[in-house]
Amino acid sequence: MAENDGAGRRSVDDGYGQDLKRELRQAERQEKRRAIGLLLPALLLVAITFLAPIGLYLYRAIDNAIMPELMPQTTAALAAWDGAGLPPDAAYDALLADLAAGKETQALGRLARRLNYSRTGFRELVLGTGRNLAAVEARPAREALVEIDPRWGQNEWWATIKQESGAITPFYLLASLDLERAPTGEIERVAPEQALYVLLFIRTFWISACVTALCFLLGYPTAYALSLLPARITNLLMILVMIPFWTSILVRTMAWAIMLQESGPVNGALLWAGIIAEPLPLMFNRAGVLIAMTHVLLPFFILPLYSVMKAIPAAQTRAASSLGAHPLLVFCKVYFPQTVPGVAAGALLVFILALGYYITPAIVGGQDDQMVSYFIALFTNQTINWGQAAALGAWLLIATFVLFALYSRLVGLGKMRLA
Amino acid sequence: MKFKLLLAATGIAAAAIAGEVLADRDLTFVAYGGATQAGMREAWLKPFTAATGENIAEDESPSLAKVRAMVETGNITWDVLDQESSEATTGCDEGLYEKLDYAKIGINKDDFFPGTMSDCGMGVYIAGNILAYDGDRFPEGPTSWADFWDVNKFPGKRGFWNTPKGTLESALMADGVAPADVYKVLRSDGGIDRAFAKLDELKPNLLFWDTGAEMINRLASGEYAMTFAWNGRIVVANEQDKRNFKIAYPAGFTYVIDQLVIVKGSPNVDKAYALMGSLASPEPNAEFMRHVPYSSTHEGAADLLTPERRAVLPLSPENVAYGVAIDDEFWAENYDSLTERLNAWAAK
Repeated sequence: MAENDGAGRRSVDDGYGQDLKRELRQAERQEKRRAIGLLLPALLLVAITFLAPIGLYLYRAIDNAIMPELMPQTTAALAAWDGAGLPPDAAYDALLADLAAGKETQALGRLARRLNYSRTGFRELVLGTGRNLAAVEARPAREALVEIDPRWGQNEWWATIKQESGAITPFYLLASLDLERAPTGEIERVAPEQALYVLLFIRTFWISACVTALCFLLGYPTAYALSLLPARITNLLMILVMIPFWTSILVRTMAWAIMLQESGPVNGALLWAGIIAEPLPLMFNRAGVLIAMTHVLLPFFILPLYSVMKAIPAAQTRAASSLGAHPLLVFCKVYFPQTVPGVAAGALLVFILALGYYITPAIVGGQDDQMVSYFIALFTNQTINWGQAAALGAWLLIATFVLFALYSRLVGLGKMRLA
Repeated sequence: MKFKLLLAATGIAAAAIAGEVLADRDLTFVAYGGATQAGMREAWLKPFTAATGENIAEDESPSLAKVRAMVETGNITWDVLDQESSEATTGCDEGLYEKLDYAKIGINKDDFFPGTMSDCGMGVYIAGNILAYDGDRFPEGPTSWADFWDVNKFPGKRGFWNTPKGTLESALMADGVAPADVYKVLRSDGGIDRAFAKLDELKPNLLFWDTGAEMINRLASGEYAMTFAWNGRIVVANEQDKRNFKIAYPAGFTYVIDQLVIVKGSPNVDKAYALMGSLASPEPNAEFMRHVPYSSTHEGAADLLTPERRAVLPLSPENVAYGVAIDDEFWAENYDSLTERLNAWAAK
């Protein structure tokens, strides 16, 4: 296109003058507008069904609207407090009013849960205080609250409320990296028995890298064989690659669960052949996760690589051989460099898909083989802590983008060929 | 023409969605699935439907977290739930469950064992969290939780339910704490750390289960050499699948009251009350125990059973001496934080 346009413009300058040039430009603009107009529905669809939900979901990672909503008076009263010692009487009055209102609307459970994320013990503190509100009567709020629970007379509980009183909070994003804010505002590491997520991210990337490497080891020779064999056999073999590709991931994973279990066919065959004396632990450990994930993701490596290999003329390797090069040298110097775009594309596909894997490790992995997605699902479905789930998702997405950028610097996106 | 078609399609879609949203639901009953829920179906739900003509829908895995999500979004799809008593108490505190009007249910509390009824939960059965193993694999089976920890003597993987409740108690029993003292130790300084330290020893051989079906399948396939289990499932597996699973009651066990609760805001509160009221007499409770050997909360129900059946109940005179009741107060206070800690512990 670009070359044609350039040639066209030159010819206009040569013979026909400014009017025609202007008309042509107008026509081009119209064309462009029409093209954009045609693209618009697709762009809108992407924006509405893809970008907007992801954006809204990621916003949950910092969303803290529940605090101003359920503690409107307390958060306002604490705004002026410097955080040292105990808050002024006004804050106690405000807390009492907020808790009474929360009890009325049955929102105390939500509030208690939210505050308990930030400091364990708040659940009991809020619900217990809520239960005993009737005992307050006409006494000053401070005296009454401290009597119901002495924790209302301690700085740390108030400091947490003040810290979390904004409509947005960095709490979930920090917690997803095993960090927390101290009452003084400094960011520090959480206690070692709570720390989990940094390890989890490292494990997720490590498992993905291992799966990618295994896919390379198994996929490269397979794609190579496919590209060399006669079409009739290739088609048959291609079906063998595609059938698992089209089968539901859940079915394939369950099949592996049956194959790999202690009394399963794999152990049965090995025992029968006398290779092992005791059944090998193949499931609920890292080995099972790597086997099943590699199998599930292998087609994503083979397919782009195969299409690249297919396009390499056989004459080149023949020419190199006829000029006296050793087969290994031919492979290293002539063949392999031309397949790099396919390898790069396949590896990227496999790696990025592997990062988000959930169901396969959940079924064939043990407790210490679970990846980030397992915890995203846990927080979404089991504990209903969507802020934490969104924060883990956000970091996973960011880490993926960073890796993608690094990767494209190293390999070069232009060099990648997806099909 | 095309516009009309589009309009018609939109209309149909809208009507379908509205129909889904506005439809009257049948009373929905939610329990932990498997043999237990099948027993409830036969003993309680089917007779209720036969007597009243009300259909009952069923679902499984009644987690408190899901109830929280339902009540908060106002989209309530469950009505009557089987909850362990500590969850019933927690949900009651959070305003997730109806406060029960026992006069309206129409049962006489004196017919039931004391302490089984709470503000929101009507106690129906008591389940034992016991040590189970395959008698064919270990004829000389484990007799204590210390044996459960001994992978040299009894090689193979161990199962625990994926929750701290019952798991930490069993760990302390393995560490030499008498069943009656486990909560004293858990409440003391360092008690929880002691339980986790004991779990550390078992970690390489420990695999959690999430559902009762998973537990039974893994015990049956040999994936588990032994497991923490609900006593009812073990007996039913022996009866229905001709297994030779054994329960080591003398090792010590925790038992838990399961209660029926009504989700707050349920559109079927009256039907839910009627279903609970149908359990007032001993017979439906005894029938449940014939299907699944958990101890009924109804004092008169066990008398209707054969002596053989009575012997496999967790609270039979021989077994009850080894048990300790789950401490609801401890778990209402610590469940969330210990669940988090157990998750982090397991994933490392």
